[in-house]
Amino acid sequence: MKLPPVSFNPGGKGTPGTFAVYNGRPTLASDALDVDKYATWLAAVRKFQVPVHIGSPYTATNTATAASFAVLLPAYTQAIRWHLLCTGNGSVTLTCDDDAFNVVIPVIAYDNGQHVFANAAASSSGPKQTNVVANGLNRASDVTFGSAWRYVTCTAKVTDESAGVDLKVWMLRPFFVAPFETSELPV
Amino acid sequence: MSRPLQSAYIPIPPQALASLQPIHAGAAAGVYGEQDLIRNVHWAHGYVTPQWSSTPFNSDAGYLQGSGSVPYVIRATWKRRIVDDLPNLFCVAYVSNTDGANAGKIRFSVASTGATTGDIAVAAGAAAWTRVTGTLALDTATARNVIRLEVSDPTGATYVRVRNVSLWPVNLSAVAAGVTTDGFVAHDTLETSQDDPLTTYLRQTEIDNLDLLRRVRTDTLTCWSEDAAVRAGFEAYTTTSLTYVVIARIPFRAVAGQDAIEWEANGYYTGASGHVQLTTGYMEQEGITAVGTILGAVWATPYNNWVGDGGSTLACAPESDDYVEVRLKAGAASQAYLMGLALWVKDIDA
Repeated sequence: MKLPPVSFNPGGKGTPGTFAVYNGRPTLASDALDVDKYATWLAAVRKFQVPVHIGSPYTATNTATAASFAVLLPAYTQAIRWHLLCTGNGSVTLTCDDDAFNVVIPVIAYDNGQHVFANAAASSSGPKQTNVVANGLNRASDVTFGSAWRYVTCTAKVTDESAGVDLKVWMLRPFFVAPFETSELPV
Repeated sequence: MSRPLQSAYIPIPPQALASLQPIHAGAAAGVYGEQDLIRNVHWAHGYVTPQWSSTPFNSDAGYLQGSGSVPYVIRATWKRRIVDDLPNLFCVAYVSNTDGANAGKIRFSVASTGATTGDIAVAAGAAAWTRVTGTLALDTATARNVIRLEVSDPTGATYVRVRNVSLWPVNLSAVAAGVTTDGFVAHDTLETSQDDPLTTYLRQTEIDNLDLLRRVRTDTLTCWSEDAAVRAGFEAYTTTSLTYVVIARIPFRAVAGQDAIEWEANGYYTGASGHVQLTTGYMEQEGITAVGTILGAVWATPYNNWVGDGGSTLACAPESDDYVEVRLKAGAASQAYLMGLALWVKDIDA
């Protein structure tokens, strides 16, 4: 298909549970379209979860040199959004190979200085923006919209709000923005 | 006769397959048809795969490093159920080298077979963080593979440092004939050549193949390893509490058909005992008892205290947002340490 079947949901609500092609039945164009729709759904709409970064928190100290990591990027991904669990105040700067500008997520997750996981609060990046021409926006990271699976290098850097008011990122989760219903899929 | 596998998906214009249109073999410039359908099915088989791990080494100084040992030492381990049809693993590490004159090395290995990526050189003076990669042959005879990161320092006083490790199955470079272990049935272009009959078998097999990929290529929630040699006091997850304390909460979305999470945990305790416990928001809501295990009593190379679910998977509700909560506790006069955790979605039943 040239457009992503965003409402197709195999095995789930709103989509027939079985696709059966019966012997002796006339050849139907709809059977071919079902195959095409299913394949396009796998290619463009089904976005796997990226394994969550856990373990010791990201801090300003251990990201003094921004922490690098790889993200396996599915075909036809519009953008990478970011989900964080944090304690403290500050900001998180994220970059991606494909994006000329960085993303900055301001975090206010004050925890009375306890910095324990149980106090962590969720933050996330804003949505994808178009015509970005500057660093520092709270948005999803841009990626090149294309038909091949590949990987990109991203980085994360933590900045404390001030001396004595620091920030810890206990969990970092990239997640993918699927193409819009009207996004024509390029070859 | 061939089983084509191209590296990119082919978007097919809908009119090419519409009712009352001629049926084309396809695979020609500007003419789409049956062979493009099987090319896309093969592409999905070869390329649609979840990432397995992205592990940041934030403990201690924000990286792991060797012990100043030129012979390889194990510094991290992961464990995950393999995808039978994708027998190789792509390993990416972000590294540096404190030695400006001598190169160091890292390698990844499979515990059960000893297979390795071979030496992955870390150049003298490599800056933080330089990307290096390798390919590892998985043990397809073992359902769940233990993957190890081994580090070889340049000298006794300089170090290779590793900031992050990311892992995922390597895409296929060819489609084998016949039926794969997972059950994928390869198509041949002879099935869709001009003037050949268009069979219901072909169409049903195409759909069955795509459905198979939906069911067995499932998400990884996390696949994490602590630095196995982290200095005392810098471990991410440890407790002396006699009751369970929440140490991590991992959000995820279960898609249609996904109703169970498989898991593996690695760790140890000092003293009498240490336990890890796992549950989901759905299990809490439904009153389903959390699952867990006792950790190992010894922590020494090769750091292989992995304990699996043994069938006690975590329940979740399909098509819903949920989270896995991880808890840790220690026995009397004890301390528990969680050193690795892997959570992935169980295959969807046919």
